[in-house]
Amino acid sequence: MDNIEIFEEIVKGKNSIDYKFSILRFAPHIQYSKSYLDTAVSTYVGHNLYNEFVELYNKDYWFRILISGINEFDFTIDENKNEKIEFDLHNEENIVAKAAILRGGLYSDKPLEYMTNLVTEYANGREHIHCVEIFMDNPWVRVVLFEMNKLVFKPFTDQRL
Amino acid sequence: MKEFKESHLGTAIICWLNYISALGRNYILAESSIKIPASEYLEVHHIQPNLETDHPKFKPVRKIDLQFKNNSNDIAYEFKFVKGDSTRETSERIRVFNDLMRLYLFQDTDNQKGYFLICSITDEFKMSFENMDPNIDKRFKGGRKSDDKAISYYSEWFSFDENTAEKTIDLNNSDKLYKDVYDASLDEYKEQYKAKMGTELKFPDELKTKLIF
Repeated sequence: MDNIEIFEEIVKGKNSIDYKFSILRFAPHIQYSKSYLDTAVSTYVGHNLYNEFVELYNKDYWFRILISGINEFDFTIDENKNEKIEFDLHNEENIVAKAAILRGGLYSDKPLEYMTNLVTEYANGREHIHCVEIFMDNPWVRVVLFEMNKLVFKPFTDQRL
Repeated sequence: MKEFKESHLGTAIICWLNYISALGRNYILAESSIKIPASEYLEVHHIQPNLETDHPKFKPVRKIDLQFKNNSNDIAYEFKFVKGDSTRETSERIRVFNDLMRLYLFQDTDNQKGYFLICSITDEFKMSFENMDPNIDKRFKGGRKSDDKAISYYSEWFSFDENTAEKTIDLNNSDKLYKDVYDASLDEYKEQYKAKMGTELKFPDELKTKLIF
């Protein structure tokens, strides 16, 4: 699809199966339409189950994070029952960026605020992109992305989740 | 003279919210501040806004956020602003339902109309109101299809789809999530209603809402 780019990272699940952390986006400086990227997502995921994340408080949805097998990842759990997994994002062999998935706030009366604060605390002053599930019904799971601008994207052609 | 339209009032409020947000003054956005753009819109249309008026059916009085007359109609508005998780807890769900019940009790004749206006930052509106699902056990669900959205609590009371704008609320709903709210609302209002009206407050079997904007 013209003007759509993709980044993919393999993530090993607890069961040693390979899953994917992918980012689909419009090529920079291109006028975009949400529905065109929706189509690209649909093409990429096919009939597979996936979780899709968009940037919080940014209704443009110009990029999408797509994750398969999220419940198979090896999350660490802290004393507050918050879950976290971190992984490196590569350009060829080099680590150029990082991502994290944070889950928690299940027993908080204010999960939206709780998890937003958790992300802020986790980022600890580092510039980051803060994402939530696109359905906007799940304040309990967040994706945090660091150094996204250093990722090398490829044209989206026949890659699939 | 410009004609008053509910949808234009909604647009005016959105524009004001965006303006305040663009200025970086989000801290003033709250339920009480929504009256500012609403009142200004009415005044431009040569309609006198009346804020915090006494509800005619409760003693001691309950208030109506905004009331005004337009042509031969007597109109009441209740406002809500979703801030963070503000509409998530049971106490807040009761408050929202109380607003609906006050608007219902305000309307005795065809010339009396009640409107519930709720607004927020888009993402907070969706997460804490439109798509708020109190059944959290499935929130760490891995892998979702495009039609796997949460079943929203508030979709029992409000339509969020202009193609099916009307919603009928069954007040005999035995689901504890709703029954507890209806019972709490009745408990809260029955004495004050009886003190003013001299009769017992009985909730109707159903309420109807309609999505305007």
